[in-house]
Amino acid sequence: MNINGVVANNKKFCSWTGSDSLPLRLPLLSVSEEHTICQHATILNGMCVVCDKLMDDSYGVCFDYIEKGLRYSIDEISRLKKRNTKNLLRMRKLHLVLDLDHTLLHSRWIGKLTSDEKYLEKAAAAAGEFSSDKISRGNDLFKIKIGDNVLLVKLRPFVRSFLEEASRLFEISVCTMGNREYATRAVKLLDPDCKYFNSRIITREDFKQKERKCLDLVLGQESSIVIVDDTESVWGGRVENLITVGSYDFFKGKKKNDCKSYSEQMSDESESDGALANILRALKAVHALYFDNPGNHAAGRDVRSCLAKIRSRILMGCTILFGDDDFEELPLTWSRAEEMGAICTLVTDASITHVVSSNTQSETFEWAEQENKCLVHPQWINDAYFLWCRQPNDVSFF
Amino acid sequence: MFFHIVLERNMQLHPRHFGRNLREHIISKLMKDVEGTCSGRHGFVVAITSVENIGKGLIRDGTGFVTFPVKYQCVVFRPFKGEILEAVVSMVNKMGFFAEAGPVQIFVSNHLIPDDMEFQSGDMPNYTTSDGSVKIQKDSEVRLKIIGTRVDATEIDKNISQSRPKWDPAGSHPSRFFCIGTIKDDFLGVINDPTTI
Repeated sequence: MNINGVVANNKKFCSWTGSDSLPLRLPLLSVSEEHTICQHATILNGMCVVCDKLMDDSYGVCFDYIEKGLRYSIDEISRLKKRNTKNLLRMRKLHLVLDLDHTLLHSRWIGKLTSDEKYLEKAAAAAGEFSSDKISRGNDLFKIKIGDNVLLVKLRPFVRSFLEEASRLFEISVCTMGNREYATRAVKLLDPDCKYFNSRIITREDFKQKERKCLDLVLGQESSIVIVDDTESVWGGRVENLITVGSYDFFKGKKKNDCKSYSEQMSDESESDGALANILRALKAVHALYFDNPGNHAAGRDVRSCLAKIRSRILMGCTILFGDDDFEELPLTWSRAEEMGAICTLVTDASITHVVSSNTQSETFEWAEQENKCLVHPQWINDAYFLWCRQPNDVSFF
Repeated sequence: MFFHIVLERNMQLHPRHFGRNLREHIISKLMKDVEGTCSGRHGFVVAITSVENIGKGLIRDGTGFVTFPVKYQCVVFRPFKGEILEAVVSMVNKMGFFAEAGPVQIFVSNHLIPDDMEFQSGDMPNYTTSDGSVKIQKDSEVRLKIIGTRVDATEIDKNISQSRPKWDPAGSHPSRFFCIGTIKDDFLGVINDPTTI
């Protein structure tokens, strides 16, 4: 606020200030706008918030989810990403991006319930006319009214404790393929006090490329963002930051098969041993590895390498023989086993520790029984991958 | 800034109102239609003060409706660039704060808040000086300068468009004023601290 400096340089910016005697000439102290060229970093409703220049819709990137009408320039976005990450790291926190559907909850329109699930419809009707009313079964089943239709929303077991504990180590955002109205209502059920997500809810309308999620809109650096989602494909190529979680299906899915859904059996996923509890354990491990590892130089730390490292310890020390080399998911299961630190082979050998086979009649099966090797179903590898820990060897289907 | 101006409007009246109370009907319909609306040119019509003149009615061909040209005086409110206003803070976040001066919403970015005020997040997010003497939070009153205004044609509400006659002249479409402001100059800033009584 240097008056003398401004008088010298800002001759045209003057104003008359009132006084009952002589009018005074005083310069307006808008030094910043004149001396530095405005970067047009933040645009609100088409106007630059500092110098009022009108910018059109192609400038910068739209950030409607934070504030309607907000756009940031590319430079401002990278500055904000760096700054936010730096602030979080100072508080020993990382970024966490969560998906909604099938990860934290499962929703179903009331008209699409199967006959075995009709008891839920009665409970919903009995719960009254208010939208987002709790229906019994503890605190986890809600109904919300969107337009003329009623939607039943079931929260995944353990989700509240998961959010509570994760929010101590991470700043959480939501990234969902649902539309804005559904997402805000669902988040209100998960986070009624607005403690965890704040305004960080990115929905389908915000993604530039339809059907593809990306981290561009998350204001944090990619080296410190962990994603938890049940589908890998929706993220395009960015899977190094991703922890894939088992899909949560409470209501009967669209697939016509004989197994009953949780709702039809009136049961649910285990709370203490389900997917979210295991993912929380993995998140705590990533956090610990990122911050407490003395060997890591601050600038070189990256959650992606931490994730890879933790994953590679799951099946460390295992040498796995794939018995039947013609089941359709072999390449995927093979690569997962290798990611988890196991050595995979098709050749029988003395160093083998585990034999994967789904066929009880094969030669490898007999060889394994002879040599007393651990026999496991391919699902054993998938379980280890999704639950982030090695399952006991005898929990196979043999 | 407030202005007291004369405006003209064509009022369309249904024949059922013809009779003794024709003039009252015209005036009450005018008030219902115009007060509280906003146009880009004149701003917000706050109140109609008097009706100067109601011209001769013209019968529309094909329907029984009659059009009366009405000249009336009213108080309007319109924000201008460079104007200094008092406003009430409605929301504070780390980008800046939103304040409202009647129907006008003004956004003051953190770049245009004096450098010695820092953002404090929490239950009541606010901007405070380092010694805590001056605080800007929700419901504080601030004096700010408008550095830019923009008229947005709002999404037309279905109900409004059905009740409005279709021959509304251009310039009176429903719209909304959005402004950018600053408090970085002399004599601007908090006027009234809501925490002190």
